[in-house]
Amino acid sequence: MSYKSMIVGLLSVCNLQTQAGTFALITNQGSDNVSIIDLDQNRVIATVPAGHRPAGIAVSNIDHRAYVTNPESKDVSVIDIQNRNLIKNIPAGDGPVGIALHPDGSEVYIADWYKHEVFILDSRTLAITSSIPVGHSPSGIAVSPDGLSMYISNRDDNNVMHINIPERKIVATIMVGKAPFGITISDSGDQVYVANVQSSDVSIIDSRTDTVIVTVAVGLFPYAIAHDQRGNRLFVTNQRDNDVSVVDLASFREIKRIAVGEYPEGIDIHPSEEFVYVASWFDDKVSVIDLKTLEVINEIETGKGSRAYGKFIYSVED
Amino acid sequence: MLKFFKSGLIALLLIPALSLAHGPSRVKVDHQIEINAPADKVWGIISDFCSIKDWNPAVTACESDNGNQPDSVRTITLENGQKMKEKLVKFNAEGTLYQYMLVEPNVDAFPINTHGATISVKDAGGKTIVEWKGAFYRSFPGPTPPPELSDETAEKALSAFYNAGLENIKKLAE
Repeated sequence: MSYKSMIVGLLSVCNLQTQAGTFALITNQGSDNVSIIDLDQNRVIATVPAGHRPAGIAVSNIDHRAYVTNPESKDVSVIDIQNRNLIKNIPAGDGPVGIALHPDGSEVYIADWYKHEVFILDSRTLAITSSIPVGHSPSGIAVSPDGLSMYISNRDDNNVMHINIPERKIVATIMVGKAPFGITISDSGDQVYVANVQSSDVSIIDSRTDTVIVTVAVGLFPYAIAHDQRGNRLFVTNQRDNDVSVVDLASFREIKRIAVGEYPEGIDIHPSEEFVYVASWFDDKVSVIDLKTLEVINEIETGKGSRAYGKFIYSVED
Repeated sequence: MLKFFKSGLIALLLIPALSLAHGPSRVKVDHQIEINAPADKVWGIISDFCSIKDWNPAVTACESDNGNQPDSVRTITLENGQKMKEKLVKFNAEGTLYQYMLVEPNVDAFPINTHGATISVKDAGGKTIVEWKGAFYRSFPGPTPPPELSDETAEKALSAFYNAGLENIKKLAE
C-alpha cells in the first residue's frame, strides 16, 4: 500500500467517523425521541428514539454521544450522534432527570429525582459504577471545566452541594433560593449560576469560597441558564413568562427580556458565542437568539414537548 | 393504599405547598372552543377572576381576596366540596387573557401539584375563540403512582374541567 493511499484511506475513515458541524440535540418529552438540528441550516436532520418522556441531556464531543435521561422509563439512553442511532437504554434509578459529563468524557453524572442520589456512569463500559447520596430531589448538575468539582441543585432542600469529584465527597452545602433547578458553571469555573424556580431568581455562587455573592431577580419560574462568557451575560429561561431574561454579570442585573415560545426549558449557547438556542416545551420548537441583536432570528419545529434540559450542543470541527 | 394516600396528604400539609417533589414530567392540557358571539361579550362573561363559579358548572363557589388585582387569590369549591386556592399571576384586559396558578394543592380535588393556566379570548372574524391552556405535574411523591394518581388520570380530570367550562361559556354567550 502506497503512503498516499494510506493517507487517503485514513482520511476517508475520519470522514466516516466524524461529520463536522454544530448540532443541537433536543429531547422531545411527548414523542419519546431526540431531534438532531443542524445549526448551520437550522433544521432537523434526524430523529433518534429515546426512552419514555426524555428530559435531560448531555452531549460529548469526545465520544460523539448524547446521554439522555428518561424519568418515566427510569433509564438513560445512549445515542450515537454521528450514526444517529440509539446504542442502548441503561436502567438508572427511579427518576433520572439532571445529567452532565466529566470534561474528559470518562464519566456521566445522573441526578435521581426520587432516590436523592447522583449516579456515576462509566462511559466506556456503560455501567453505573457508584452513587453519591445528595439532598432531596437533586435536579441539576454542573461540572467544573477542570473536572474536579460538581455542583448539584437540590430542589426540595433549597440548596446547592459542591462535590469533590476525585474524592466523591460533599465539601460544601450552599443555601440558595426556593426550589433550585437548572445549574450552570462559567467557562472559567469561578462562578456557578442556579435558577430558583419558586423564588423567581438566580443565585450566583463564587466557587472559590462556595458562597452566594448575589441573587438576581428574573422572570416567573426560571428553569435553566446559559452562560455567555464573551458577553459576560446569562440567559435564563422563564417557564411562566414565556421569555428569556438577559442578566448582565458586570452589574448583576436583568437588562432585557426576549419573548420565545411557551414554557421555555433547555437553553444552550453555540460554541461561536453568536447564538443561543431555547427549547419551548409547550410549543414544540426551538428559538434561535442572535447574541448581537438579542432578537429571535429563527424558530425550528421539533418533536412534541421539547425540553433539552442540559448541555445539548454538539460540535465537531473540520 | 388508603393509608399511603393519607400519609401522602399529611406530608402535603406538613411541607410548605409546592416544595414537595412532584412528577418529573410536566403535562400539557390545551382546549379551545369557537363561539358564535362577539369577543367583548365573551370576555365580559369570564373576565372577572371569580366569575368561574358562574360559567364553570364544575365550580359551585368562588371567593377572592382581591378581585382582578395582581396576586389576588381565589378559593374555588368544586361539586364534591373540595377546595383549591389559585393565584392570579397576570391579568391583561387589553389582550383579553389572564394567567393563574395553583397555590394550595388538594389531591382530593385534582391529583396535581403545580398547575399554571391561561385563559384567553380572541376575535375570529365576528366569532370568538376561547382557549384554555395549562400545564401541571402530578402530585404523587414517588416514581410509580397508582392509576388514580397518574398523569393520565389527572390529565383526564383537568381536561373535563376545562371543557365543562368552555362549553358552558359558549352556551351563555350564544
